[in-house]
Amino acid sequence: MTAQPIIRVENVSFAYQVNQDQQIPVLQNVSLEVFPGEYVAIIGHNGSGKSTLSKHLNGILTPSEGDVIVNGINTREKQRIHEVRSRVGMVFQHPDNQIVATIVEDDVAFGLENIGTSAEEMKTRVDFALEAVGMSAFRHRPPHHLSGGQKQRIAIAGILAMKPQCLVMDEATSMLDSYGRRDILAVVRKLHREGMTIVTVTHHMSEVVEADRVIVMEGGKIVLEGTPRQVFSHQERLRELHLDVPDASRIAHLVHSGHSEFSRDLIHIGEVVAEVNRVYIRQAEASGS
Amino acid sequence: MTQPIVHVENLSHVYMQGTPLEHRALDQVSIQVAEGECLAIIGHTGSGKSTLIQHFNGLIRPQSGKVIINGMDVSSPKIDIRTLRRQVGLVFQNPEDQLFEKLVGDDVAYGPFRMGLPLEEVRRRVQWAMDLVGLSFEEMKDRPTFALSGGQKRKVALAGVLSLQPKVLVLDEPTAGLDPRSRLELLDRIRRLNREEKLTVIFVSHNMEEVAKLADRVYVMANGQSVCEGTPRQIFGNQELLRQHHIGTPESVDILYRLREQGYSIDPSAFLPEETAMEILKLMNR
Repeated sequence: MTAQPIIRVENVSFAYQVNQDQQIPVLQNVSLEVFPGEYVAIIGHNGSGKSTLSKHLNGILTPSEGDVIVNGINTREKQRIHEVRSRVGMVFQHPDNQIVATIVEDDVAFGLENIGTSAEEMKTRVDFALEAVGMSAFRHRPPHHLSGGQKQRIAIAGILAMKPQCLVMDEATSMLDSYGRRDILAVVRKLHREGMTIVTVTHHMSEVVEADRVIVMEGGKIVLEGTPRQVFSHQERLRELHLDVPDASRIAHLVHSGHSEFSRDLIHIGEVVAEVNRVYIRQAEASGS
Repeated sequence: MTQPIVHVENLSHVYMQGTPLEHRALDQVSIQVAEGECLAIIGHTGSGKSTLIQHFNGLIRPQSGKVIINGMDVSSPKIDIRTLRRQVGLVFQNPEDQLFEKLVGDDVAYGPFRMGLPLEEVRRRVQWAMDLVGLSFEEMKDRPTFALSGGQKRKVALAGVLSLQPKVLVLDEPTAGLDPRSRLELLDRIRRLNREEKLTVIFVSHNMEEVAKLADRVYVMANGQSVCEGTPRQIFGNQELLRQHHIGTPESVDILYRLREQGYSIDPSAFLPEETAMEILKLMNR
């Protein structure tokens, strides 16, 4: 890719300071670039540093060593942090912790109020943001009566109203049920299609298979990187890292080991169904002729 | 069934009664849990699961209907709520948000300490509880809670509840937000608490793999009612029911149903990936 990266993480190390003489290192020399329009998934088990890394992407945390550059701005430049955050918006894990207002549209407008947007522009942007997440019908409702998935969509709308180039999601679906998760994934998929850069930190392999690129973290380092198909072909390595693979991939491997004609390079459930059809028909033909 | 340890009969609950926002969260729910059982409660968001379990340790008192826990009537105004809460440990969703002490050991010790137990006993219980959840006492007791990972914090919160040595452990979405390793480990811990420590376990979950691994029996909730009850295999084999009540299925089950829709003869209750693979192999090797 020749375009300039939106986010450049350069040799970043980070440690939580416990007290004067004790530090807990979390990130060690991590380097990473995120390009415009990319969909990047970061996986790894708890404590691998993936959440800490994601919090560096818009300056919530700044590195102990190394730099994070967002659109040419170093996140250490505290006076320019608003610029950074207007480029890279972040949605967190818990829906309830991100809602500040008592009416949905006020909540979505909250960030805009803080940057002094005109009333007219604010209305346009709130309309756009609620529409984008499919929540226009709820604009006058109190958010605390919404489901977790709906609250997360409101949180995403609040970010979209700021017109960022990149949306970072830190386990944004992990508290949702499968229906809520599906709603969020549909919204994210649509945003990505329309050109939004997406970085998602997740444990759900069904989300990972949607990404262009997967980054696997372990012990504060990036240990594996590639397309979902490449990454999930390393089943042994992932097992060592105690990470899941999508059910589809797991099933394909198991069937392959009992029936070698069955491909093991499958990651979507539709692919498994299609492969069953393919192999089944070939066998039927072979036995028929 | 012998005398159930949790007995709920015709329980109803209405939030914000008499206002325009009135919402009937529970509608004539009856459930029974036997001592030593591991029970899952599943259902779509808003089906009343969380409202139901908050009755088990008296956080919500019955508006109408009965809740009897180990012989104690929760609706009785004379109930000793502290005794009830020592018998029923409730672990909320995101229990890690409720850690408030600076150090791990102090947080786990808070409950037994407040019970007025002698220091030696408090220490013994903290060690026991941390051991049960897989946290090394020596290594972790003086760690600051803020520097723990999400999975570790959750274990600390669980240890804090276990240190009260409850008879019934109630968990709301115990593994939501955990990575696969911590999830499996925590499930394993909970199963051992159930099988070895003979703790009665009741848990609410969206995660069907978790329900499949852990539960002896499942209640399905919808619109504030308990609509169905059975073993995990009975419940997951019933796609109609799951669809009707907006309960997601694991990918492996989706594959089986899609193959069946295309006319393959396949058993859709084979919900684990290994079983799904076996079903597909059977088709291939026919």
